[in-house]
Amino acid sequence: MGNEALSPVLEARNISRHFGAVVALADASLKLYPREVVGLVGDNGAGKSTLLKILSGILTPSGGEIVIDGKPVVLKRAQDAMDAGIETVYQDLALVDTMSAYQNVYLGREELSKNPLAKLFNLVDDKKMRERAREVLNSLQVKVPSINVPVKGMSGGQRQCLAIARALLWGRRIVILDEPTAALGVRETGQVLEVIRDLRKHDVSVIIVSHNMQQLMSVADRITVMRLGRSIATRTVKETEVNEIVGLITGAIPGDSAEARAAQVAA
Amino acid sequence: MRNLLRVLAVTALSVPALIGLAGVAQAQDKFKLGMAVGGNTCCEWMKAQGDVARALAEKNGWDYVELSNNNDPATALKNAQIFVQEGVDAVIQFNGQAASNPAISAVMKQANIPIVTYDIADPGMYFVGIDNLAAGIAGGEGLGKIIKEKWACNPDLVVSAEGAGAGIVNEWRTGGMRTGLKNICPDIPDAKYVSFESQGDAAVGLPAARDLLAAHPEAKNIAVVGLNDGGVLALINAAEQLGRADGVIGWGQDGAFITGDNVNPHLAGSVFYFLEGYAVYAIKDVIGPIAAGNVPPLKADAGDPASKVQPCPVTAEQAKAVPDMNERVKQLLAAPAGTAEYDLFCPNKG
Amino acid sequence: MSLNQAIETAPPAVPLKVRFGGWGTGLMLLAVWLLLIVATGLYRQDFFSQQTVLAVAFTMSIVGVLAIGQGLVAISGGFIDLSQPAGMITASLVAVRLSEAGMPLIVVIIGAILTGMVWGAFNAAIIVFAKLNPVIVTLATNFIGLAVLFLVFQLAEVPLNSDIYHFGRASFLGLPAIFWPMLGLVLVVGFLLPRTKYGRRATAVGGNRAAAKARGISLKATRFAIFMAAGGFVGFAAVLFAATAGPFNPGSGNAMQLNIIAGVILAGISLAGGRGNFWMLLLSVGFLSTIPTSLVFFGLSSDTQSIFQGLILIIAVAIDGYRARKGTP
Repeated sequence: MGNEALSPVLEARNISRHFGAVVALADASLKLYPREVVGLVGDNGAGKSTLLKILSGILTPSGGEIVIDGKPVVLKRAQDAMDAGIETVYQDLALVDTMSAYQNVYLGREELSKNPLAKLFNLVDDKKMRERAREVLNSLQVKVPSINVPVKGMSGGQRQCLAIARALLWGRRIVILDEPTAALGVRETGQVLEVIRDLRKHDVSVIIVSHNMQQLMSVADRITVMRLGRSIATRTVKETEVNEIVGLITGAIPGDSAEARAAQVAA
Repeated sequence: MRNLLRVLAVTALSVPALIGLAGVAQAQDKFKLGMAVGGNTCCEWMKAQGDVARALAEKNGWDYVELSNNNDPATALKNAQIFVQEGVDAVIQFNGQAASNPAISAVMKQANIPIVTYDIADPGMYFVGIDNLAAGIAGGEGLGKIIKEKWACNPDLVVSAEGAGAGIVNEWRTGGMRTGLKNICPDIPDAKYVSFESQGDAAVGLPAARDLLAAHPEAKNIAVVGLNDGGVLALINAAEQLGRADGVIGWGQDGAFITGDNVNPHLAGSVFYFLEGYAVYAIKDVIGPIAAGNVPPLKADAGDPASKVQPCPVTAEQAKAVPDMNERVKQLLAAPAGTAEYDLFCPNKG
Repeated sequence: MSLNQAIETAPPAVPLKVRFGGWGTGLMLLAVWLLLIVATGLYRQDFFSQQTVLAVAFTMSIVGVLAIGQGLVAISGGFIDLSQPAGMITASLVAVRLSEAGMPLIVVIIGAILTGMVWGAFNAAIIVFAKLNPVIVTLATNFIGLAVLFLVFQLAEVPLNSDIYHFGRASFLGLPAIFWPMLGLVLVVGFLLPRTKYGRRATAVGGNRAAAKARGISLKATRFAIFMAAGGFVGFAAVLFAATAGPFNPGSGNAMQLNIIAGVILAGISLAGGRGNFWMLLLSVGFLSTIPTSLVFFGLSSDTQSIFQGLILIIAVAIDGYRARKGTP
């Protein structure tokens, strides 16, 4: 896209991570521009999950730098990442089954009632939360049976959409999605991809990890390829095709950078 | 350095062993009494049973070994085996959880050591204990006198606070109380006799007592008998809560709640057993003769005991004159050998 | 409005059962309770008396307050607190000692509640810092607590004619005085829990720990707060217990445990956590407290009562499991 003129909203520079003598991540770099969807691909063990965990604050990097809006940040805990505006939506979705859609969306950030007596007891303002939740779900075209019933009965797609909508409602500017459609049917997948595309309109940038190349090509602006713990190439979707990406993943096509050559030597 | 440590260790280990050997050598010709108390954490009287036995053993110049059954049948059996290893000449036990009594009997028989058991009979053990039926009858008669005087032997209800867990003892005491009541007031119709399960605990039996009262909403004058004071109190408390205590007169067993300054005004009397002083009976009739070389015949039946503890029925008024347990133990140990607490303290001797 | 409809009419339609789910439990409980009352009343008309109401209400009061504490532990994912008997007897002993010292009733109440909260904090400290299963920990602390209590006292009783003694025997508007605080507490907790920030977060922790944690909710702080609050209710129940029980010993609280757990489950407060309406406790505890009274009117012995209690517990657990699978509240 034409966003390169802007400065990146998130940049990971030369991130590495060791577990003792084991190098899980040798040297990974990634740029995410405003209103952009970046796909992150790579074979199993290429270091995608490690990089995601570092960006979500669950793991701390052994080396390298994370820059948000041009300022270096240190993400020691998941909360730090959230405070920095990064929301990670995991495969297991992290919804409370026994609570309703709007309660889940607002969990941990409940709107409190303005009534002074109610305030004394920390009463929540359910009316306001319902309204806002409806607005957000509607603006993302998310369809759920009712925002008032427990989410347990909802489909995987609806739950995934709820989790994404939550990120938006909480004012996150960066959403990381880990295999968002892995367990979904065709129709549901379409719904989720639609919601991901819609996030752009709301000034949200997305990093998405997926094994499904067709899907990535349909939703992402750029794709960063990882191999053996290194980011070896980044391609603009419009200027590449599935075969090239697959070649990069498998090593049939060498990467761009010095790191890529290093990866090849190592292989 | 290492050798020095070794010498130290050997010395440290051998000193107590030598002292032990010396003790054994000295104890060879001394009579040795073993006592297994019911438990040290349950009730004051269990501990006191051991204290009295120890004091009396010392007076007689015997060696004394005390173990605690911890209110646990398995521990009681293990204690019996320890007594055998210790080489005691006779054993006294209180084993509230009687399940292990047959096994204990067998262990003792094999080692040829006579054993006295308190209150819960076993065919292989000398029985020393209260005559529960007599205690029940005495209490029932005490209550009957009050009922006769106040209600002309015409109560609306006679409630029995049962504790089925105590088995035959419960039947003796509550059945005995009904019999004693009938001795004084023979014309109370059978339909007026009702019962509830109190589990012998005032607090635990309370809901069942309230239910029983609710199921007899018309009854005003209610006489209460029970397995123990706690069970009777359950009904009295329930009646207070349902606003009907004015018509309740209770008489308990065991004297647990008839002394002190917190006696419920509706508890008219109880029966003292003076549990803490049982050792007097055991030593007078069983252990003493054994120590003197005359082993008495085995009397193991509660109906025909080796030594019968005399129950002491008291009205609440009379109970005020009875000192508390610690004081009773003190006076008992100061009294001449063979004097029982009944002789010293019972204000109402049959 | 049309906007909302657009979202909420999307398939699949919500089954009626889900919409009424919250009240289905209540209607079912009310129905069986009424059935029991009517059946007993038909068998013996004198069942309908003030005496029956008093007997049931007394039993309900203590069980009800303990069930609030048990329910808080359950809904927040602590499963069950098996240490309630030891906690209650400890707080009751404090209440007795304070009233023996001539303290006014309010001091006795505060002392007992604080004791209960300390007991809860003690449980929570072990569970949180040693990261142990709450069921096992409370099972163990109950044993330890009872053993220590046996060392400390054999029997205790509030002084005759003390304030607390009269509180335990007074009645107000035809019901026991101790019934009203129970009623008030159930209503207040039932109102606040789903409507406050902290209540909702505690419920979320019970529903899905990982999800709650990912939302920045501290599991440790929640568990501490819940166990201390639950302990506070145990402490208040101890006041009601000491006021009514007469002489009690360290083991006198054990008999209530099963009834309380059955009450919590029947009320639809899931032992798996995350779900439950505390107002339902009034119906479930009321129903359970009526059973023994009814059995006495039917002339059945206490042995049959134990059988009934056991059966009801099994039925309650079965219903809880069914609800958990269906996901209805």
